[in-house]
Amino acid sequence: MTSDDITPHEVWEQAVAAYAIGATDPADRQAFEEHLASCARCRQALAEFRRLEAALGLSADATAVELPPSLKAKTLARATAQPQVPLPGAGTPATAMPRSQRDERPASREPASSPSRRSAWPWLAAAACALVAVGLGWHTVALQGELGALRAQVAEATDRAAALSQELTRVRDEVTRLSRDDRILRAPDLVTVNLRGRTSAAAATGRAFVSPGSGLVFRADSLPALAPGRVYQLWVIPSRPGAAPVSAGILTRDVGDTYVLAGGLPASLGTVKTVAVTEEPAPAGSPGPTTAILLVGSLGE
Amino acid sequence: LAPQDLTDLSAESDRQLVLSVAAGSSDALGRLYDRHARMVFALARRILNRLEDAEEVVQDVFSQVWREAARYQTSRATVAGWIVMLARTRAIDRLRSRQARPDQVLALDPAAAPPLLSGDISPEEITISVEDVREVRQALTALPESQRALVELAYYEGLTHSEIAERTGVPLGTVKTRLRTALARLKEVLTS
Repeated sequence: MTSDDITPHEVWEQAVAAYAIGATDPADRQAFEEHLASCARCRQALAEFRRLEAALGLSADATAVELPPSLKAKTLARATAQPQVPLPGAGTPATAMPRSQRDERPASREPASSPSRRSAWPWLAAAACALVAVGLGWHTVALQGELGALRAQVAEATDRAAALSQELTRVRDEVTRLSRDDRILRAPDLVTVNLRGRTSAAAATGRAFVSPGSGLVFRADSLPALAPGRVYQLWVIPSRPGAAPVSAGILTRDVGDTYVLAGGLPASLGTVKTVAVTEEPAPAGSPGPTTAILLVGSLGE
Repeated sequence: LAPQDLTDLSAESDRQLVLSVAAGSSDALGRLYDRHARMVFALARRILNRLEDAEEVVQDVFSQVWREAARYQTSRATVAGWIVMLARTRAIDRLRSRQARPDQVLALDPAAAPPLLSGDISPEEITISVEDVREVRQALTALPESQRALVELAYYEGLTHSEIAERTGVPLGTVKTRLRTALARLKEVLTS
């Protein structure tokens, strides 16, 4: 198994099954992967064996198992204490903070359902300051040597209280935003509209989750770079006949060529038929589309 | 809202949950747990044969779902397929570290266990029906013992051809042939 030239294709076909479940030895695996990169037939065969791989996993007898009742709480607590890979569709200008900062603070990823617990932190920190300060009073005279250390502790505790308070504000903002996105994504009237690119944005794709009652979550990928002074504006077109496009807002650049938007919709909008993106003047866009549609999709397409 | 959209929604509800998890909803993670934890637990127990290890795998898997939910969106596997792949990988990792054989530590390298369901290669979506799972289970039971044992060593213990040959004393060429025959037989029962 060294080269396509000297290896009949049947040998590769025979290698697919073992590769799909990870049983191929390292040297064979490398040769097979090189072949796979250039062989659509083997990729197709692999896809079929991957279904088998998953079906084998699902066939472990789940009916006979009893999950320990305490496991769910333990699992959720451990999982949600960890930082998440950032969601490409998340983040609005008002509440977004640098990802790096957020990732450094795993404590901020506590369950969104416990804001009351979180609000106790600044009080605890303040209490800690008070205790340190009282300790300071008692020991100043007799224990001069400890004074410097205690001062440092007070300063540290004060800094920490300030940092916690700042973080509380950020977390509150984030909870507000996440619960809004969550509410939209769970709305009973939610529909999904897939958008395709056109003309200069032919490679672009987009997806809108639209709930006329709760709002909209939108994401587009592979949009071309904007000229200075221009923005991408999102439009929704209601399904009633003759309805004009209504602005849903300006897209925010997330990372690379990905743009996102999440927010409310005018209450009188009614059901949405079409979602589209055009390029408009910065910063606020236009009252109605003024350039050719770059990305468009309708319900049921 | 057309009826068709409602169908789309129920078919996508697992995906919506993953999307909510990616947006930071622990509630959505809880609902994914309710749907899939038994399957993870069952597979992990099958692989590790020890309850406390299986519980650890459940926690590992849902931690990974929480961390990487945002990445899942570009994947083409069903959510159940994704989770079962995570479960198998984590359980086999744990099995191998338990066995703590230095010559197998290399196998913990992610490259050694390719992300089988990551979906970048296949243009098709991986979908598995309840019937598929039942049929595969039956077909596995119906295999000749000599073949089934090899499938189980490869699938549930994550052993490669050579490792199976070493473990069982069956010649390498025979291992390859038997495993291939068995897997081809199992694949036949999947609905196309």
